[in-house]
Amino acid sequence: MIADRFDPITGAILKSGNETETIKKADELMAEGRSQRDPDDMDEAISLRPQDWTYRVSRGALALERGDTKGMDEHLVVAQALASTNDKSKSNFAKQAIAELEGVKSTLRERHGKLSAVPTQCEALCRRLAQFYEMRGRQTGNADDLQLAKQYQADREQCWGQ
Amino acid sequence: MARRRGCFGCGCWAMIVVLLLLVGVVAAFYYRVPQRLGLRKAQAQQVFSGTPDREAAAAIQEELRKGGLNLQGIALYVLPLEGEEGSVGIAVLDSSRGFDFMRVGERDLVVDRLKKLVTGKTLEEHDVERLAADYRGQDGKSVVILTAPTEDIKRYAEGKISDEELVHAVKGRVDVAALSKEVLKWRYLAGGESAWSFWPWCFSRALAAAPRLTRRNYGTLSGNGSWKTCGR
Repeated sequence: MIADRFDPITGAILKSGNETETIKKADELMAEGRSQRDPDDMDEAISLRPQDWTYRVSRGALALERGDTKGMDEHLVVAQALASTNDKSKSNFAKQAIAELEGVKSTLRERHGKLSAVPTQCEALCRRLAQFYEMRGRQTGNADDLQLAKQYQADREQCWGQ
Repeated sequence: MARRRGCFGCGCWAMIVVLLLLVGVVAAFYYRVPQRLGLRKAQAQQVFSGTPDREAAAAIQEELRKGGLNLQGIALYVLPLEGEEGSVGIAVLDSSRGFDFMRVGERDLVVDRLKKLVTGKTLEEHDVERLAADYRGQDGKSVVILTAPTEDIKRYAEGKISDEELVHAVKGRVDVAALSKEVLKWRYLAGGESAWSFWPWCFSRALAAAPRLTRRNYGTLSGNGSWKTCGR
């Protein structure tokens, strides 16, 4: 009740103890989930802080890695919507999504030799990478990103051995 | 004509039920029952539900670390304000995770680095509009949390406003019982001779400055002249 005497922002800061603890706990769970590739840890982190889009990006990437392309799309759609509140978040969203999906690409290559061995995952991966490289290219004006977006679009066809 | 009985023309039981309901509603809001049941988000949860600006927090920590400060036990969060412009930088100084005032660095170094941080570009670039420090004791519970607008702290560091003006901008919350224990501990550790011996005095003054003590041993701080001795 004490902090109610202040303006809402000050009041929230003075009662931020639980919130910072929750962030710490969720961050630890997510770090564990990322390193161990454990969906349960990631889901628990998301349930603690459902508005944190960075968690959803990681969970989406893990879903793809495990062959769940629908799950990937669901998490990335929510993440993108949450990150669309300001330019900085939009930019960081594209950056993180590219980094994590490139990581998934390496993992799938290690596991299967070539991406076309898992065509559904390959197609979903190339589609999303094309989208995010284009997003980042438009945000930063980086021509290399726009070129990579075109390349991944073309690669989508090759996933099915065409 | 039958004489009407009861309180104010209606049955006493009805009045008692209405009064109990009123007391129940007031108590439910006072004890934050809707928040505890998850029916309504707590104030801090509403304001800080978004994604922390981890890039900004890392930049600030890097700047302090490069400046030679030991940040063990200090967690820094830059939290964007939901529905508002700007962010809040909250430093959690947690004794239960290894934070110790005396290990951060020499007093002059700490003051110099913090001064450089608030007058430099980093906070401005990341749109950090308010700063807060949350000191936690050995049990990990908050002992004192203080906050002030970044602009006021910057103007103070640049010598543009006085101690008293800064103190008026500072708002805080104190667990008086826990703070008393901390003060006693620091007095013992500092032995009155250390460069850090001003901390016990600072917090003693903070205690004295708490103008409104309320239930559960919590007090709120809104500055007065008592804070002048802190760090000076």
